[in-house]
Amino acid sequence: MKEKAGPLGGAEMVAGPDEVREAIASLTEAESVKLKRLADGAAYRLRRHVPGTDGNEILQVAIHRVLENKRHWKPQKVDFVGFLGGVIASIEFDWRKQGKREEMPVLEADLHASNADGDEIPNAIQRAVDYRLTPEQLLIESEELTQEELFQQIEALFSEDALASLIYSEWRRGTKGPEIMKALDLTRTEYDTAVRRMDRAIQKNWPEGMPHVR
Amino acid sequence: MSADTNPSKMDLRTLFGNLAESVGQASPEDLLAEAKAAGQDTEKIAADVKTTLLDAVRGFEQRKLHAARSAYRTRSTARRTRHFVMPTTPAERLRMLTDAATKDKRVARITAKYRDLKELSDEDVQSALEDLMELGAFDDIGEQNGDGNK
Repeated sequence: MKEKAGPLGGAEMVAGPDEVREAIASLTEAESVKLKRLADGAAYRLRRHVPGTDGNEILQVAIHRVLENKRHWKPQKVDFVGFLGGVIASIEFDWRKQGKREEMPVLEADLHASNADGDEIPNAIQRAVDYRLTPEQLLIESEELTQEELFQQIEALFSEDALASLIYSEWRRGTKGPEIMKALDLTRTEYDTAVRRMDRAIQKNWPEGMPHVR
Repeated sequence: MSADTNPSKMDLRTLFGNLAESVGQASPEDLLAEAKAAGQDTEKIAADVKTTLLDAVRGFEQRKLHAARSAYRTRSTARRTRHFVMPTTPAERLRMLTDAATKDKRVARITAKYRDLKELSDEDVQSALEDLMELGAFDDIGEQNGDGNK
């Protein structure tokens, strides 16, 4: 364990590889299942932006971030599962951002282009700034759902689950979780259990990731 | 509170956030019970998670070790280069190889396959000196002479 100066001048202990290995070895079956569920959930939501992402990949990246000291685990302050949960959430945030920002490099050879008749055609840079959609893109887009259509399809998944259906319709009206719990007289556990049923139903219906919307 | 037909005030990111929160808030024991109820092999899931995480630690350490080895190689090559300057003429190069073979048993063993070092072409002599330099055969000479072999 390495010592790191704390905000008030006191030293805080940051875990190194040995402590991380020990924490992994001590994970209970329930804690491991929770980590798996967190990582799989993040991977599922990311697949819309970063195709092919899976939970194991996220777990591995989380450990690398800890060992590379991009994230400091202070065992005396936070338990390992809670800490890794936070790292998984930050990976999801970063990858979603990068997935949207991904840009293709432009090669020098792409700068001047002409067709067989010698007529100049748009080069890579011109094509990159031309926001008009190609016919293929137009076709794909016309087949994509609107957000509203997707939300209706999701709603239909809960048609036989009264509580899930009620929670979902309140979300759509912009009601937050705590207000819903209060209005429906639900405990946190009851509310979360219903929401996880919704989560499972969505993942079961679109195992490759939720569809894109236009 | 009932569903209406107005456009949603929720966007997809909010929906995802709501779904994610329900797992983050849950106790591990509740999630374990749910997974078992869904017929999942939780013992296998747990074992796979531990293997994945431990593999990641091992992978990180191996990468670090590899980087340390690489840095060490770069440092030792730089040190040898500092200690050794290839003589400029063929005669000096041959003398250096002959002297080294006389003084250093390791070099003598390597050059023993040549009956007469003088019969070697300058190209062979240079190549032999470079190999010996790479093997560190002249490190002691360099250290004895301070900053080089001259």
